[in-house]
Amino acid sequence: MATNSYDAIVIGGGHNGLVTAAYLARAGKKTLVLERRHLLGGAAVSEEIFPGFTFSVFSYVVSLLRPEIVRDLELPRHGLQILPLESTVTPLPNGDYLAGWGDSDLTRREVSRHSLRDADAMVEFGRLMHHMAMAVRPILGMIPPDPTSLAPSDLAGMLKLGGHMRSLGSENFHALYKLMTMSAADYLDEWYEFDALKATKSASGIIGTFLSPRSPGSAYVLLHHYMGEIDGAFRAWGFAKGGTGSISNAIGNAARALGATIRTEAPVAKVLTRGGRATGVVLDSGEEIMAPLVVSGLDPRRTFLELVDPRQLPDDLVTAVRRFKFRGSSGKVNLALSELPNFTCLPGVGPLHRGAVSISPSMDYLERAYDDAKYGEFSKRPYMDIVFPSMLDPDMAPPGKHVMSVFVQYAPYHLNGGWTDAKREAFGDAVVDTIAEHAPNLKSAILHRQVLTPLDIERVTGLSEGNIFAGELALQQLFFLRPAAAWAKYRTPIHGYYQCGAGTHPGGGIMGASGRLAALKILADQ
Amino acid sequence: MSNVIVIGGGTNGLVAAIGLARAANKVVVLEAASEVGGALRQIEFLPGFKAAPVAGDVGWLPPDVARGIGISVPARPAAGTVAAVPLDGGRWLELKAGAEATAASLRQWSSKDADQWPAFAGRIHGIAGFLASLYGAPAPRIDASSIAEFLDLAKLGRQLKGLGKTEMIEVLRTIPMSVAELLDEWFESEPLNGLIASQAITDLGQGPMSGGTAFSLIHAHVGLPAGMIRGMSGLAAAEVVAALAARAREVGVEIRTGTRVRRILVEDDRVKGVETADGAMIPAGEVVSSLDPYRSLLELVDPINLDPEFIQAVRNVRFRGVVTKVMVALDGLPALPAGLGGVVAIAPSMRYLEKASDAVKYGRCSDDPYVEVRFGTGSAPAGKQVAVLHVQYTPYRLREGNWDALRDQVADRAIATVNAHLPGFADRVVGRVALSPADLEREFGWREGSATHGEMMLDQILFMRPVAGWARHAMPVGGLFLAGSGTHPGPGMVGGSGWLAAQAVLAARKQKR
Repeated sequence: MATNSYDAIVIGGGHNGLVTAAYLARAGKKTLVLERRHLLGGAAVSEEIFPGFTFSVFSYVVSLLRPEIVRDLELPRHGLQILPLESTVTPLPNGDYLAGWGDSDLTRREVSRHSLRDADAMVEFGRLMHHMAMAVRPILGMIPPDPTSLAPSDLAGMLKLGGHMRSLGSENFHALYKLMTMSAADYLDEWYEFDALKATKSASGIIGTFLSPRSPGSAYVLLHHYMGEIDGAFRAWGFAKGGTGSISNAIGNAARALGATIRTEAPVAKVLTRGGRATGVVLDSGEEIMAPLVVSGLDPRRTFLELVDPRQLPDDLVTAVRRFKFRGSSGKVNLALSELPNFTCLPGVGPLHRGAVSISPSMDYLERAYDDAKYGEFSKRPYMDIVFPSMLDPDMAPPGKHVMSVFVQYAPYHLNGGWTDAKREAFGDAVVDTIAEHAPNLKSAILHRQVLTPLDIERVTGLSEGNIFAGELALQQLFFLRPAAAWAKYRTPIHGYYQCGAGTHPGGGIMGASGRLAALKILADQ
Repeated sequence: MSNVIVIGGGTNGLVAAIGLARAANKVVVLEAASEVGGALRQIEFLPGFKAAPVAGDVGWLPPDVARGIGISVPARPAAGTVAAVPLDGGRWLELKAGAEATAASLRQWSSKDADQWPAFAGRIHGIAGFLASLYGAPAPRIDASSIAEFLDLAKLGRQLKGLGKTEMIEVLRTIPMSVAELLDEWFESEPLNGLIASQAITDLGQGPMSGGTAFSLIHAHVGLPAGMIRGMSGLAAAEVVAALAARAREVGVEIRTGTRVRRILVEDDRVKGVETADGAMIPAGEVVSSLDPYRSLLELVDPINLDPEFIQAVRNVRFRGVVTKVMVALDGLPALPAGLGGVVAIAPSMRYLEKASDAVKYGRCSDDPYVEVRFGTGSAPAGKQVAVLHVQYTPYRLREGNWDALRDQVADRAIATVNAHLPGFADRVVGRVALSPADLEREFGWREGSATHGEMMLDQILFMRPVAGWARHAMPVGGLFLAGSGTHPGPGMVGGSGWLAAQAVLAARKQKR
């Protein structure tokens, strides 16, 4: 039995679970990670889906990974290498394009082709976003205090939060408040006039939510995506060499180096408890593994309603978790290509292929995409964010060939009549047809195609309803309400049972912050 | 004794005037129309037919305000059916005045919903109670620089904590939600959800699936008795206006109707008075405008007196009126629920409302609009009836065409919509006059036809109303104050903003001394 007991067990080898495990191991805990699949990473995995073609199957770009994690776990030493994605190009209906380049002077010149006013506004807007990101950053690194509690640590937390808000000064506070409560469309309307520019920027406000860019609450997600931080530079998005799975592997390697044990193909059936305390887990195979600390990296629905018997939990919490919104709204199409698509707006192979292509020609376009989804259909002409990882990392595809990753929104989990194989293919066709309008050679270049609906995302990764953030990043599901009031501090009502997934504060993106904060909390509680 | 000019004789203007006159000022109210009442004015739209097109319900009269200005207006809360949705086969889904009666009425549709109703009504009432406590005081300031203000903030925190743990979380959780998400947690009957949601979207350009609409539902309930989820303070508009006008005269306020203000005169960063449309100068130490923030600040004040950033902030205030009012003359009533004391809402489901809202995004009017019908309002010749239709969504800004060409089409469409749900309605119509958002702007001075003087969305309330940093009624020009519902606490109540504005004038004087 000695080998079958640990100080801590982490359920789920997603990047947050691995971060928690690494920090626990670093603190000297004998830690075991149990992953259901044959590979690590959860939604951050690289897989050779077609012979010779490797894909970041789900999550495909990185910008939010916390620098302190990179430092603490020495991730570069364990194989992490981020390659910058330097541009975003939006093809326009009139055959022209709008580009944002890595170089801000170039971008200004480009935007001024479309609107001089917007080119001016960009500078000021960038400065404001920088301030806002700086204002939010300490909150991302904070264990959320419980505002209803009178415990000294919560009161201190609230005071610290209040002090932080006051230190922002009223101007920044008001700007932050606006960002938290407005729609991306209205927020951007205050700054910009060029429709495609507003559409491309607000598109990042709707990613992973079931909101329209005109719905209040969408501006905040815009900031969430603005907070990218590569080598300390805000705004830059990057691509991990080897795909996003290599981020997970780097964290996994760091955890192993610190002494953690990682087992794959080890699905956990239940958390074992005795007298209101966690005692270990039992696997699907019936194998029991004991530990006084069990940490779930799964989403709140699985953490509270599946891994444990909800009857062990207070009714308030069960109700809150049942009400927690997932509503997956996006899909993914991965293409293996014989050649790169030739975009008519910028013909030939060029810098466009080393960055992102955004199919977001106008605000109306995004609205129509949303209209389809809110009545239960996938968008006939969806918003898409496209990257070509093989351009940055040639190892992703055989020589001369390419991989193309298409993030697609909206594709509702709750599709009218439910998802079927035929509907999945129709969804894939809608994606390819829409891109082909901008790059006519695409269809003939496709060697293989993988289409992932939210239902597929749920089946493979276990993320409920296929929500890529393990629960929507809506205002009422953030901070001390993520995932539920009074249970936002990584603890659960079961002693020794903790949560560390993206369904906890701050959640979302390959950030690792939830995993790190959970580990800090667990260690502080010891 | 110094001279104060109040621009606009709506309820907020009158309340501000009374508040100031009671503190021994000489107060003059300048009203452009031929009578006071602002939005509550009645119009004779056809010979013998009169209606107040926009005064559906005047909202609540905060007790502090009533006490402060010394008036009392009898409230006669509806006793029977407060709101009803017509359904197939002549059946109705009805909300009653009391929670118990509503639960009983809902039972024929869903016993689950009937069981949930009292708890839902209680929850909404609890959160509304918290808002009410915010609405009675100047907007909170986060950057509290003085000890007194910090104590205010602490008091706010205590009030929130005083709600109890569950209620407090519900306040924080519910306010940013969409009303669709909120109702999904409670009810299953589509018409019930449609009827409740229609309150939440009233006067907004958004549909029920849009964030922040749950707040809008709760805001509408502030000041009302528990269980009265859908509007109905029971105050009669005409009585409120008459009481305010009488009280104003009693305390020595001079009311000049038919007097339009052309400019607010500013010298050395301080108001000197106003210039009227006919060229007369009226000097004053303070000017209190109850017009909307845009008109008050950008049309009446010379921009040279304002900071460019402030001007930009005022320009960014969203108005976006989306409502057309149709006043209808009828030769009789269609079949209605017995004891209907409120409105008939064409809101068969939330999906219906959401679809109606889609048109606004593309600058069009809804083909199947949300229509709220108020019967028995105004006055009509013997044997005849008046109804007022609130027709949403019909955006002020049209992408194609103009309102002169569209007005009648929208009116016909609205009547046809009502007729489709309430057969026989169209046959009763003997005449109608429509007021588009553009007409409402012209008739009532509402920018972009916005009845609320600016959208009531989360980013335009409390310390953000009308603009961040200037939410306490005093404006950046010395002696200039705003008192309209474009300021905290805003629309949906009688004189809430006017009363706080009067307090702000008095506080500013004390400080000056």
